[in-house]
Amino acid sequence: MTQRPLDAPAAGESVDDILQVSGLQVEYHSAGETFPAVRGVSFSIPRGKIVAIVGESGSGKSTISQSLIRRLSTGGSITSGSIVFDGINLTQLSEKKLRRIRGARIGFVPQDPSNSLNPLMKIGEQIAESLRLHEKSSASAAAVRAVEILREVGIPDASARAGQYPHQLSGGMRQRVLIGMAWACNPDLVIADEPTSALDVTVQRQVLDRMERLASERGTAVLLVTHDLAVAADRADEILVMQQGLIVEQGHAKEVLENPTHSYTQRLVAAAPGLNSARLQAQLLPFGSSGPLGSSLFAGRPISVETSFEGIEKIPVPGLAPVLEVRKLVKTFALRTPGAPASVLTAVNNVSFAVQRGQTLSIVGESGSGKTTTARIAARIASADSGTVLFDGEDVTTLQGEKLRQLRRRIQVVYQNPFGSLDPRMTLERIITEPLRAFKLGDRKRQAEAAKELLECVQLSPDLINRRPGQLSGGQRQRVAIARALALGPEMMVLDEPVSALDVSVQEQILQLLVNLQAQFNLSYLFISHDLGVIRQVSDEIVVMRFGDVIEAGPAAQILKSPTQAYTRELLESIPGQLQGQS
Amino acid sequence: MDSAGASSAQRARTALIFVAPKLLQFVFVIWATYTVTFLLIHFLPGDPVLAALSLKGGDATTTDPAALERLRVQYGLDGTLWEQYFRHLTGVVTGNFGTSISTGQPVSTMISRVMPHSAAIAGLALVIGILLAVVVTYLAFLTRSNWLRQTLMQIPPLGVAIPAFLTGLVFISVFSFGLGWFPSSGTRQPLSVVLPAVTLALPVGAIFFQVFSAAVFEAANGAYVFTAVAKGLSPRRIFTRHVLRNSLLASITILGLQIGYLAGGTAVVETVFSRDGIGRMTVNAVLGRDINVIQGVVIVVAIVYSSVNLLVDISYGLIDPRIRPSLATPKTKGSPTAPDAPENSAPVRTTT
Repeated sequence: MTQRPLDAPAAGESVDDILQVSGLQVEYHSAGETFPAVRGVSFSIPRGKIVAIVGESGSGKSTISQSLIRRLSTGGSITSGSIVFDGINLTQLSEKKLRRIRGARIGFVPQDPSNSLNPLMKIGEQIAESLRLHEKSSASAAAVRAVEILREVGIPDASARAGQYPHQLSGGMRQRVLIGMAWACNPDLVIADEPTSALDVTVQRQVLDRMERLASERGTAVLLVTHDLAVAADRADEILVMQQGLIVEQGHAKEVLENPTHSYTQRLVAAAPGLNSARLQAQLLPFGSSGPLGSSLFAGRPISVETSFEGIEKIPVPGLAPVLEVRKLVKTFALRTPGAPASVLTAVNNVSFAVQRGQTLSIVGESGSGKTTTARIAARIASADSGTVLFDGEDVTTLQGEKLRQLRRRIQVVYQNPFGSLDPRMTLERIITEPLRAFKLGDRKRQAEAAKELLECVQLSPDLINRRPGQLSGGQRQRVAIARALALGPEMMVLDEPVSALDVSVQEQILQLLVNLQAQFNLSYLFISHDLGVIRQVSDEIVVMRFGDVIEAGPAAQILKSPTQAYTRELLESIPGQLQGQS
Repeated sequence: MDSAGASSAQRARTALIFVAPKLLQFVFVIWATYTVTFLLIHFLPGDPVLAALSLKGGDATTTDPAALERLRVQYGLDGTLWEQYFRHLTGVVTGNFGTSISTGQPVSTMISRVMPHSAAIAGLALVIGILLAVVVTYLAFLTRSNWLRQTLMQIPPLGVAIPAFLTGLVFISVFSFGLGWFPSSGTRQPLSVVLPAVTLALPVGAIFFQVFSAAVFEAANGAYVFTAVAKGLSPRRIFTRHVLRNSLLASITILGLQIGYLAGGTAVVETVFSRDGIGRMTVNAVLGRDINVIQGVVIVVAIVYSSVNLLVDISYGLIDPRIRPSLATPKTKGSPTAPDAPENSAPVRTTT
């Protein structure tokens, strides 16, 4: 563990910490088993500073945030260590006294804005509730103050909004309400547990800006828990990096990022998509580890066996038709709410693009932009209201029955959620060979061989062949999903947010794998993501979508370097990891 | 923001749009119930008037066909099937269910006489059952001892497992004959409702408990309860202000079903405690082939059941703002304009 001394701020208040945690250990008990989530962690938060805890899922960072207000999920308990908040040891405090600290002196901004507000209570009332409780305000004074708080966190038309219910607010606004709630009683410390991971990037930036401003105006110390190193880099004074329940590195934000000493931090810094910007290059696989697929199941597959991929510029051969082309796609949904006049939502509005063979075209957009609907139409999973889908020069818009089934051999889809897209009762072998069985390719023995080869292709050990998805990590599952998509030897893969459910360092590995496979099998990708940081690591061409319209489209380098549209610029600026160089 | 008049007119309009289909459904259910019972009764083999007469006078009764026809007219059982169907239907609409074959009294009088007795025990049973369920759940929610919580959660299923005639008999022998606190039978004394109500409350409360407690503990693990804890609220306040209403939403459906069951399901308890009531009257009517009474009771129970479900449907809208029809147009329009602007033009649009 490396601890660097802090430069004392000019004011001279050197060792005035609002929170000191020492030797904290937390365990979870379930079904007779004990799992140590936090294994002896010590840190402190200076008054008025922002400290970030960075780590991947399972690192114990959220457990720490919950144990600071002593509200752990079922089965969790603090087994040793102390949490001293402003001279009070919270681990020893009675529940009743602790309640006077929660909400009043320690605020909490939870992770999930869509479920963290009581759906049946007006938002103004939810804020006023804590004012009445801690500040002993009268009902009317609390209601007035609640509206002020909503205004302070940047909610337009606050007095009308205060009388609304959470479902009438957007995700970003709900998170503002929660932030207002955390700051309502002017706490000394606010714990923000992944406050923006459920939000779109542009909203994420606004919400974080708001939090940062509140913290500096009120002199509140903030513990920011995040999986996103770039967010921490932008916002925090100090960073703690956690891995498997231990702090592996801590220090000044800038130093940790520029000079990571622990190997895990170095990996995180290297993997963070916001912090490095180049397109990934295909790596040559170590010789012999995974040669071209030997199984004749893949006969006829064009395998590009160049000696070196690096340095070769991929230029689409002129005159060669694109592998997939969509023209003027339109898709509308009728919205039916009882009581309101029926309205029409145009999810995809006149969208055209073409994917060149062996290249990646990415669609980027925020939630509601229509990117997923477009991808589903392109893969012929959903149908368009009008427009044409051309695959390999052939109109496939209205293919039906067996012809459509044969098309599926050539276009495969990988979904966002590797937990939901694999049948938990099947072994990996059955999952991967299912497409082969569906198309009656090969006999059992050949299919089993193919499954092993495919696992090697996605860099998983063939020994895992008899496991079930439940025994794999998220990254491993996504590899299995990719292997399944590869099984039929498709020419085109539609990747719908393939890495957004994964941890940053795993994201990087999966993206690298996709880039390698693309070079190895000359695959074409239609890549969907909300994250420009991810997009720029894989794309040759980019389409920016918003509210169903194509805002901007063009070669990746051009879009990323000199965007012409304000919205694209906003998206680019919202990628976390760019502020730290400025201050 | 918008003017008060427009907003209240709009509010009335949305309320109407919300309630109107449910009212239609209400009428349909009662009509369908009437039709099905009417058909069932009339396609049963045997003549109801003859059957009633033979029950009165024994198998050997001889009847003059003219007298029989007079009786048919008296009970409204003459004419073709269609004539009877519409005659009775008009009766149902005007509240006239005809005359009882076995007692000679108007059916509506009979029902309105016994109705209060049944309503008293059913209503009291419902209140006791819900209170028991909420109290046990509340204690289980508050306790920090896992063991105590598990024990508390295991008690209510007993209420379903033990049949009502058994608990009824036990109550009578302990509280009436043993301690002498409550009368064992009849409807004369006001306290006579207590034992039957408690007997009925046990299964009702137990079933409600199963749904309600599951909803409470699901809500307790929810993110908004975590937010409430982080606010510094006490467990008592969290329960009353945040958990209770959210859990009621899930349990209110079962409550509607239970009230429907209580409307007709009091027969066993009324028999055990020898009380007059809808349930017992129905049993007697079925045994006596008194078809006018059967039909009247079925219609009344259907009305109660449908009204309760109508209330349940409306109360969803009152409890949960999410399923009220939205006043403004939905946020997700194809245009990026702010959804904040109030929709003043909506009422205008409808007039053409």
